[in-house]
Amino acid sequence: MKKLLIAIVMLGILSSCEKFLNVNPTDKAYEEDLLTDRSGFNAALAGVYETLNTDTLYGREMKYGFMESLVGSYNVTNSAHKYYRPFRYEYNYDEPKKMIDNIWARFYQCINQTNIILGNVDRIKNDTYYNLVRGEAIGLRAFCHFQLLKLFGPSIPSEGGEAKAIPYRTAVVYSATKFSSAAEVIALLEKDLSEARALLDKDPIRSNARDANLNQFAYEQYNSLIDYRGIRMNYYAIVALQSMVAQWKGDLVSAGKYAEEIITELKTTQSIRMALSGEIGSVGNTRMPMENIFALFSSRLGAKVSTVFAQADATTTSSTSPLLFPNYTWLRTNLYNSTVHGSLNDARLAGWFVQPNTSYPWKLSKYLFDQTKLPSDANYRPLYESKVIGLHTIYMIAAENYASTNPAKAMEYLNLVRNTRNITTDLALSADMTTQKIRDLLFDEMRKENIGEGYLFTEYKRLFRPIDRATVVQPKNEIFRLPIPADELLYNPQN
Amino acid sequence: MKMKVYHFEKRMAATGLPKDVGKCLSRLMLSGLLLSGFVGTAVAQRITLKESKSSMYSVLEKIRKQANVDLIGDLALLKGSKPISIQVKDKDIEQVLREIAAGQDVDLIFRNNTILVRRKESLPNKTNNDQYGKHRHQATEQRQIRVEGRVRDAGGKPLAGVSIKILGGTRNGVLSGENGQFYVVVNEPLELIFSMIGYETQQVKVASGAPLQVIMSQVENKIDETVVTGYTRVRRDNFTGAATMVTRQELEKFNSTNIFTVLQALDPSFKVDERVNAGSNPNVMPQINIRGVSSVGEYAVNAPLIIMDGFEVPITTLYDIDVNRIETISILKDASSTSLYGSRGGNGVVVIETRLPKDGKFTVTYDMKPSVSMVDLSDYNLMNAAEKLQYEKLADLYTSKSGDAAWDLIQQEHYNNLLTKREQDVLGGVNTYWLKQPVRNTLSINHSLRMEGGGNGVRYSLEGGYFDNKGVMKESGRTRGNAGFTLIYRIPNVITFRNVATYLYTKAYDSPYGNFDTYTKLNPYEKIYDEQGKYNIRFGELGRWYSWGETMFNPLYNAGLGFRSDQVSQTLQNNMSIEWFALPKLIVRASGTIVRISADIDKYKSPFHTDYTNITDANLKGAYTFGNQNFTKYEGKVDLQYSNKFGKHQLVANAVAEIRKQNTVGNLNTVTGYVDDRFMTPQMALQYATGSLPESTSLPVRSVGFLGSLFYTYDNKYNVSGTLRSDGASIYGSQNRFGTFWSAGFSYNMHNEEWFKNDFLTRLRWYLNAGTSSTVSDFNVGMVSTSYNFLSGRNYYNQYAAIYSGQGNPAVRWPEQQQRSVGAEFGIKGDFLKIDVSFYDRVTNRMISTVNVAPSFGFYQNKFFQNLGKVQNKGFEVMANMRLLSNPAKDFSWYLSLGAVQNRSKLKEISNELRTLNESLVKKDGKGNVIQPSQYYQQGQSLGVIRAVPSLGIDPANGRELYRDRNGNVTYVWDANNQQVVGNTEATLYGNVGTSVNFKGLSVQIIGNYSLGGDIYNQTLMDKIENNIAYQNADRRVLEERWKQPGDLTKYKAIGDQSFTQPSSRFIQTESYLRFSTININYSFSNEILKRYKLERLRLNFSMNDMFRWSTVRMERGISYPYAREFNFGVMVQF
Repeated sequence: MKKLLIAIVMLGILSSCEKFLNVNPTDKAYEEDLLTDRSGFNAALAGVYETLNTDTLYGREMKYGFMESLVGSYNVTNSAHKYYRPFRYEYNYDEPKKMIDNIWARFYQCINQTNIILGNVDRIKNDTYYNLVRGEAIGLRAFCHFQLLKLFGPSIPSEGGEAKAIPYRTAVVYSATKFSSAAEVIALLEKDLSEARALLDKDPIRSNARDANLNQFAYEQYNSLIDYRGIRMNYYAIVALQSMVAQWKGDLVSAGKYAEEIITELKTTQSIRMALSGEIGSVGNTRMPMENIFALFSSRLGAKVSTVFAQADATTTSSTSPLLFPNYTWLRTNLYNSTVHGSLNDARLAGWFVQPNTSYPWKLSKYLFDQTKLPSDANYRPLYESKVIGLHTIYMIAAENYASTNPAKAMEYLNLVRNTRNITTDLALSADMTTQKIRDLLFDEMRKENIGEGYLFTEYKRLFRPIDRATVVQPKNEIFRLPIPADELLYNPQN
Repeated sequence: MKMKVYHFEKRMAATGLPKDVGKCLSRLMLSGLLLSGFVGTAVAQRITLKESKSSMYSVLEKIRKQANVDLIGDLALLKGSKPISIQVKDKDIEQVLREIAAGQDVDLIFRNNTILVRRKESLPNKTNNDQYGKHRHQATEQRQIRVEGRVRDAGGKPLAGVSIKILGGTRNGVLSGENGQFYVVVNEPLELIFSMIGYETQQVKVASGAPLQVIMSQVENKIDETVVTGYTRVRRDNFTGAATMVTRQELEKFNSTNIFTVLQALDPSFKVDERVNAGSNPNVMPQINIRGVSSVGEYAVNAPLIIMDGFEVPITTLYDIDVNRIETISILKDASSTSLYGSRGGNGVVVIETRLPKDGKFTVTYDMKPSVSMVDLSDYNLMNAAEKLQYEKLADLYTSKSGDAAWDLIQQEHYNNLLTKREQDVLGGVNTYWLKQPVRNTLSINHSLRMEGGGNGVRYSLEGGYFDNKGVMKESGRTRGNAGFTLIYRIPNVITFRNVATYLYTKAYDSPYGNFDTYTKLNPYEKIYDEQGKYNIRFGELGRWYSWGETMFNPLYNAGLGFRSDQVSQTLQNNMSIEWFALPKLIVRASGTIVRISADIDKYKSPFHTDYTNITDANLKGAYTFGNQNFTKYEGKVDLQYSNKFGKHQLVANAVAEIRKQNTVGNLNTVTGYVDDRFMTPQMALQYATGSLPESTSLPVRSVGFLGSLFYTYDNKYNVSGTLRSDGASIYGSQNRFGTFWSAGFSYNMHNEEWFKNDFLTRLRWYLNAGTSSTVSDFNVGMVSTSYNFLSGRNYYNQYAAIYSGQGNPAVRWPEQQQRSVGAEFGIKGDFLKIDVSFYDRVTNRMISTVNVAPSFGFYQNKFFQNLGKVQNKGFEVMANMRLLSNPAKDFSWYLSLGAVQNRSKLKEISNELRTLNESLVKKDGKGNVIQPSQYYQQGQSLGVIRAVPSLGIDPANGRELYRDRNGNVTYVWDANNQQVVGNTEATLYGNVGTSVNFKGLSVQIIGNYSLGGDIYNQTLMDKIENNIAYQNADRRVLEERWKQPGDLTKYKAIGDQSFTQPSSRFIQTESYLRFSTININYSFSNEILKRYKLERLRLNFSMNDMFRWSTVRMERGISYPYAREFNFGVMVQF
């Protein structure tokens, strides 16, 4: 009896001790406190999107900064310019080295963040939105790995799929993950994407507009998962990624199949649609946000771009400025107004470049907007979107596949997107339109569309194509394959 | 049998201190009962008095003063006497005394210049007694024996306060007087017992006749030498481990305001770092360790735990404490005692007990320590103006080498002009000694005042101190103020209540003159002021486009601007304890503490500061950083102590439960945009610093601990101890909340065995112990748990984002230390030679460190925490104390002490993570050059190894360095892969050596520290002689000892070679040094002088710190803050 009493008292003391000892610093939130309910997971997912929004990734370098400087859209001649070395593919200089190292590290940090979410997500297994959380996290993990593969992995036409690519991290582990080959990475990507796709099967975006807010009552706790799906890793984004991964692998048929799936479904749901030639002139539609399958939303976008691009009315000269100026004349002559496929009516040429008067250089105005137009106004909200995957690209992927199997369909898709860009003259499918010729046309269309998007470099790499800039740059693995950071090789030796 | 003894009341004899009479009495109490009868003859003294209704005491006091006589005896009797009215003029003292004693219960006897107070025997004897002086021979005839004599110690020094009793007598005895005299009257031959604390008790047979000469011999180490563990006090003889005890007496001798210096001087295993960088900056806390380094890497914790009056305090408290408050310091080193502290004790424990108020009369002690700091620039040997210019010419700095011919043409002209101007300046006598500009010699005074007293079970003390420690960099320093109040209430054997309230104020203020390093770089041919007497602000500028080296700014200009950089912290602490003697053998103690430390940080930088040179936006110029940090702690413990003694067995058992809750919270803000130095407040700023947010801290710690400990002693010969402790803390993370620690120890006092006793080896005891403990002070939840931040503006659309801000590793556990020690204490011929030896073996398991990982992990800052491996520290400590000379007759003694320590660390096991950590420890500058040799950790190797590329010296042909690569080839190319172990920083032997001489009241003590045979990477040699920036000033050796022309045999590369020197074995030097860390001179005034000025104590102190340093290695020390030599003076008065 006495022993029992002592035991009970001891137990009581110990359990109250446990409670007493359970205290964490309040200047930070800890995993075990944060990731216990849906709102915590929402915050953690937002943390991943915010990481993607940083300057290193889609806040600058992966978009209009570093990545775009590699394809010759800009004219960088001043050796003191931040992008001078990347512009010349001199990756070994401090400046580009730092950018490349940061891109690598930041994508992996996103991956780790998703892995932390996935490691804890089963705590909300019974939540209605469990599938959305898990699906988005897996999708984001695949997305980041895919970007890394495209930048740091081999150019498959040149080196083949067996070449060493990147480590693929699927869990928070405290040991280094060996590099996988491109083919292995692609297999893992396919696995992740099909899992995400199954989880996102009931994504609200399949039955609602891409910017719909399904939080109905203001008194309910806000759920960011069902608001504005177009800026999240949604169902269509996953399918688009499946398509893009297949395309990267060289499996154009699968790529085309996935692309066609999206095109067909969106024709009925219309949650994401191609722009109409009549609407692209209005403020907010400059970058055709209605086409964004996956975009990142950043309330700081206006402030960020103004540190990279000169304002429309700025009177700076391009040679000494630290800002970026487009190689306008060359682009106009050789691309937008090309004798083969160009047109001065091209809404992109008309809407994305600006020159205050002839004594000042042309500027890329695609991203510039009046910052007094706040995101709280639904009309201006799209200005703060930054496209990551667009429907235009999906049409191009589908068309690239059709170019060999169904040239007419390919030309139909090409003309369809040209029309939405206010190019009324259709390109005819003449007898001399070989598959390659169609693909070249598609490629040029991609170039016109993706000025300042950071997307083209990996397209050149995918096709191992000469980079078409003022002086054509012949494809080389040293150019296409960004160097793996030295720290990675130091701390994750491969032999 | 009848005896007459002039006795005291029991409690007085027991405490040795009177309680109810004025301050002079205590001294008189000791002044003996009687002078020997034949010392001179009494001169008749005359008294003039006029008193009405005064107390007998005050009357006697007046007589005493008038006649300049002593007053002794049973003074308590005076209390009960009737008031006295008396009027006498020039009357004999004996008559006056008789007059006073008439009708009272006391007898007053005058003999040999002493008034003796005693109880009246009985009325019939009254006359006899009144006539005592005349009838003393009569007493002898009545078979009474009058015994008088003198008590001395072995050295012949008179002993006061020796208790003298009659063997078998029931009445209380008498005490010997100030000069050792005593006087008793007994009825027939008897034996007397002489006893005194600290001396062997003696029985002396009494026969009438010659005066007795009693010699008392001292008992060595028998009394009160206890080790304070913070939980219990253990007699040193019964202790089972190694510990160093420092008492007040020793601290007083040191007269130092810096407790670290004292501890280092007394215990060689207490190691304070050399502070090559921080020099004597009073605001930089020294790094300390006990018995070597047990963890390495970024989060290494090697500092010991500091316990003050039973509770943990931050190391800053020890740094800032007023030395006068300290009663004892115990440095606990091995498992037998550190395991008591479980999870916190792994690096050793320093236990401080503050002074308790003394029972008895009210005393005031004032201690003043003026200290002079003299800046020590002797380690610097910089070029003067002419030398610098010569060097620049040799290094070819005045040739334009831009590569562009047109540019060179113009720039060269600028250079030529610059050179001409400088040459003219140098010829004109310009030779600025920049080092002198920001420094000063200072005088700082430490005041300390203490008042204490009490009686009837209540004791109290009140203390205060103030010390403005001015640093040798101008306008820098550290101000400390403290106040304390202690109250003790006791009902003997029932309860003891104690409350200590303290307040500590510290203000650390930095110098506007900035980093001392800047001044070492400024060129001596530059002038501080221009022709108008204004500061020259920029040096080496050639206009908008052209430059000669990097523009340097005049730091003196910046120093003259508005500046503020200080941190004020205020500590309020209240400790309370209750000790309840529940049962005769059971004591219950409960104690608790509340601590509140609040710190305010203020830093202001002027908008005119040269750091803002290229900034035009007024919003960004000038900055103010302000913030606060508040620390709150509640801690409580309950301790049950059972002690029993049966036969030869003695047992003490403790059961303790502890609980602690603490938190540190704070915020730090930075605002920018100032227009004028007149408005140095945060609200006058134009904005918050761009992108800034309050930097918040929150460090809550909660812990509980349960401890059981046992001490058992058999016959004072065999001692056994054991502890078991369980600790739980919030900072361990939810996975491993509790840890258990244990220890066991044994010691054997062989000298207490009958068979052992001999005259040569008078003391021999040995001990052994083993146990575990840990160090978790820096362990935090962020190590085990992944963390997120929420930042303003970092939201994703409408969702606030959790920003990933730290990677946790749930597998990481706190480190554990296993320690084994053996030791022995030898005493040869008493205190002639004492030697303490101990060996230890400490293994740290699961040492924690950050691990740098590949960026593909995606971890925050590419790192996480991991348990890295096993470190072993093995070593020994020897302390020897020898009496070289002792002449008690002349009151002269000379002692010599020597301490030697060797510590060898070894990495026993290494994890894969540590292998990769190796690589990350290479320190690189912004350009990727290796600037400091890394500490590479390899299994089986010491933690102190230095790696560098083996050098073959400088090629006399071309002045380039030759290396040996890993294949044994000779090369000019430095390659990190060729690095090898080229040295070990662990010294072969280090320790202290000291000597002390005592002569009468004067004592001189000299203590030095030495170190033999440790390697050192002479960083300053590399930085200042080869990697110096040629445009800045540098060591003279740059000019004198670098290679200049083919055939030069030099140690340093070509003078014009400005390439970067990477770590090579050339800079490894073996260092042995000896430094006089402390010289103490104390003088205590003799009793006669004290008596004259009515003082209890008067002491003069003088000490010097860091006076000399001899080293085999010459390197610049005191880089960011210069070294200082300290001279402390001190006066201590007690009355």
